[in-house]
Amino acid sequence: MNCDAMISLLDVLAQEYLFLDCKNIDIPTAGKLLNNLESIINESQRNKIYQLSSCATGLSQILEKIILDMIKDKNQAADLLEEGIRLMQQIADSFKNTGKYDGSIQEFLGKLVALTGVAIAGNESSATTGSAEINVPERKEDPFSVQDESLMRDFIAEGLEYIEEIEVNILNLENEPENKEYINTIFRPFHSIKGVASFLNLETIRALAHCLENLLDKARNGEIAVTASLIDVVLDGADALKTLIGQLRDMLEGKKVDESLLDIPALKARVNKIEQGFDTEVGAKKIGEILVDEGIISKEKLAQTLKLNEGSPDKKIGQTLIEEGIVKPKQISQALRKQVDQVTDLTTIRVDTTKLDDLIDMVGELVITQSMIQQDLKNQLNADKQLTRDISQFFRITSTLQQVATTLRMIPIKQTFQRLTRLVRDLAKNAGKSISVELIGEDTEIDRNMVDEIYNPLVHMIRNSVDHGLETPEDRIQLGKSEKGLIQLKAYHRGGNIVIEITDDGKGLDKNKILQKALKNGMIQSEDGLTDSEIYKFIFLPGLSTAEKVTDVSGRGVGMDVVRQAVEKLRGKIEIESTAGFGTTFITRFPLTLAIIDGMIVKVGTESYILPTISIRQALRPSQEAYTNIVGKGEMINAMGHLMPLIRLYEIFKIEPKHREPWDGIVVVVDSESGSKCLLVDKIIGKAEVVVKSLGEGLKNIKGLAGGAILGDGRIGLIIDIEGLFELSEGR
Amino acid sequence: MVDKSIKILVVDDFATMRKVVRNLLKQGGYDDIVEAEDGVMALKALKSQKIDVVVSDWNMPNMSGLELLKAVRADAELTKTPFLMVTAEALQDNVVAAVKAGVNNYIVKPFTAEVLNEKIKKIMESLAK
Repeated sequence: MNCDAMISLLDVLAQEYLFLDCKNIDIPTAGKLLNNLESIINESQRNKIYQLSSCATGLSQILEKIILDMIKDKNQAADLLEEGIRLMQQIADSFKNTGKYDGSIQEFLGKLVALTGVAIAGNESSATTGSAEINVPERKEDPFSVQDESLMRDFIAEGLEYIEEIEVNILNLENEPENKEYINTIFRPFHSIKGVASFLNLETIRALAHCLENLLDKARNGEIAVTASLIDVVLDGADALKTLIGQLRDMLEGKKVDESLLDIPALKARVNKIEQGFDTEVGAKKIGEILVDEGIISKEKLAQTLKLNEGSPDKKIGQTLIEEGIVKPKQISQALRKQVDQVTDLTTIRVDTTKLDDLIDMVGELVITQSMIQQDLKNQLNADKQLTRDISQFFRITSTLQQVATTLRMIPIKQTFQRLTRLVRDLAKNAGKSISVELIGEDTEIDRNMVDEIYNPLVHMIRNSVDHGLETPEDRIQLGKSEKGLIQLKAYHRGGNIVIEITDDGKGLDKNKILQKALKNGMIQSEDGLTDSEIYKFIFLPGLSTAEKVTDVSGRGVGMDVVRQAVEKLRGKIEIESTAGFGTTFITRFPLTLAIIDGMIVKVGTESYILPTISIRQALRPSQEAYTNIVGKGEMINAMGHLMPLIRLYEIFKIEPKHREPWDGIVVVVDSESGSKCLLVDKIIGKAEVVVKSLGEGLKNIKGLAGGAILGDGRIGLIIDIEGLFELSEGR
Repeated sequence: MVDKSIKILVVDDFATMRKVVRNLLKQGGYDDIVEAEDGVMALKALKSQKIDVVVSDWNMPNMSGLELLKAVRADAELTKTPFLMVTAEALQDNVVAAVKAGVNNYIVKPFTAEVLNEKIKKIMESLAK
């Protein structure tokens, strides 16, 4: 066995110890010693020298108690530390020479227990660190009394704000009770309120916050479950704190306060009950009832025992039953497990999202295979009747399966909306504006994978509304509007898309300003003939910001351009409606999922391409007269009275087409935010929902292509990225 | 005698609490106090100006006091910065974790001006040695 590493660790420990003065402990030195002891514990356990690890564990406990100032007899502690280090050196030496240590460490461990009151497992490896509360010394003086009004006022304002935060976050917790981070965000405000209240000598507030904090701490550590009644009591607690802080404000203002309104002891009693694992409202059966149901005890026996238990309320019924010899401990633990099962929600289960993604992928493959079989069957003239019937049954099942599978990953947009609500609050505060938020259709569902993607563009639009849309309270009053601005978030499904509208009741877009800017930047030559919506669309172009002042929120002229790009990348669309003086609405449309795309299949030569249906405006076969070639502008097609640039797909993708001229083939008019263009293709095959496949890492960033899909005939079609294609055609 | 002109960084997410600590420090004669509302902001402050002592709360969003302490100790330039951890949890585990991470001292809420200034004094004196 190699003990040299251990011995050198011990040498370092001994040296460090020389610098330690137990009576006036230097915390950094103590920290080094603790870390050193930890390495010794790990090293000795690795080498299975448990006598050594027990000693080291004991020593770190003494040291911890010294650091925490929990040991009165400092001299004795110092002696013990020294003795322990010597003992460890002996053990290590002995192991080095003989491979064992025959002496006993029991005497030393005994002394340790006498001093620290914590038993160290003789041969076990557990390093138990308690988490007992340190005795907080009584405070003699109080530097702040109620006279310190400004501090008190700060506390009132900030405290109320923190409680509001609790209310927002607890709703999230209700949705995801397992999420420790949510518990933490609720825990923290209570904790902070408690901290300050203790300085301000606000005993009732401190005690209540402390009580709720403890409850949440237990939930965070997994000691108790996050149940509906826990959430209720926390919300009630938050309300009570709000009332208490409100009373404090009233007192400061010299108003009379009716303290009888709150029943704090009852609230605390409820908290205690939940802390002990009694669920007061959720319909879990009591242990006794479960035992009766199982036929383990009779109703009479239960009643007797319950009576017996009345004298000692702290005692659990199960304990008494075991003590009385009525049931076996194992039966109780089984009943307890049953009780827990009842509390957990039986209608939902948690599934790893990667598994879900895999499942949905596989269903996608299945659908593709299905359409391949369908195609094959059509090609067989003498297909078996029975087989055809069976297979059409199979098709029905797969298409239902696909529908179900896509809904699996759908979640309500509620969470995103709540995050945005919070954002509005923060932004409003920074901008010195007062804004309320209205949510409509939070239950509208969207693919989980889309949620994160749409968040950033939405944030940008909201920032825009808060910063540029809504006026300051003073301006609003002058304009005869209500002081508080309104932002409305609305979601609904329309034609296989989710539509999200962000509406503010602010000043609306300034048409003239946009026009001037567009003229100045040379985006347009004159303002004639532009409709309002065409003018508004300019704000989505790079380099156009009408904000006069650059704030830290938005207004650097990149904002809305980025939003448009992000929305289009998700195959979405964005529109604006605005009325000067009355507000602006951003209407964004996103596909419900990125996994499936609704497309039109077109053919060029032998190749198939898929155009996203959302971008297609129309398809036509132009007459020869509709074609013009304008110098400096290139080839144009006159469709619907507008001249639009022509893109010959076969030129872009360098393939041999069937038709070279627009009047022989088909022209598809497609839209992008930067305008409409005509694509020349050979023919249109049809419409289809295809499952989007990425082209793989190596081909990920090919301009003009968004991915690939396996078509019904088993061949591959490439999905066209319209914006990218436009850029390609312009040689950008 | 401890130099009262040292710059102290008070880190707490609760503004009122920062004010409380500031007032307590003032009672001890310390006037040069900067504030940060969480560990992330504190690190920024530490990197942009010379801070003599950090007084940081334990429980904060974004970056907790312990994470801040670890980040400070891991940063070659800041590693020696004296650090006083304020903890209200009053739990052994927290204090021990902070000590292991190299805190200079800790203080349990609620505390008096006396205790706070004594701890600062002790930290500064041990540095002078």
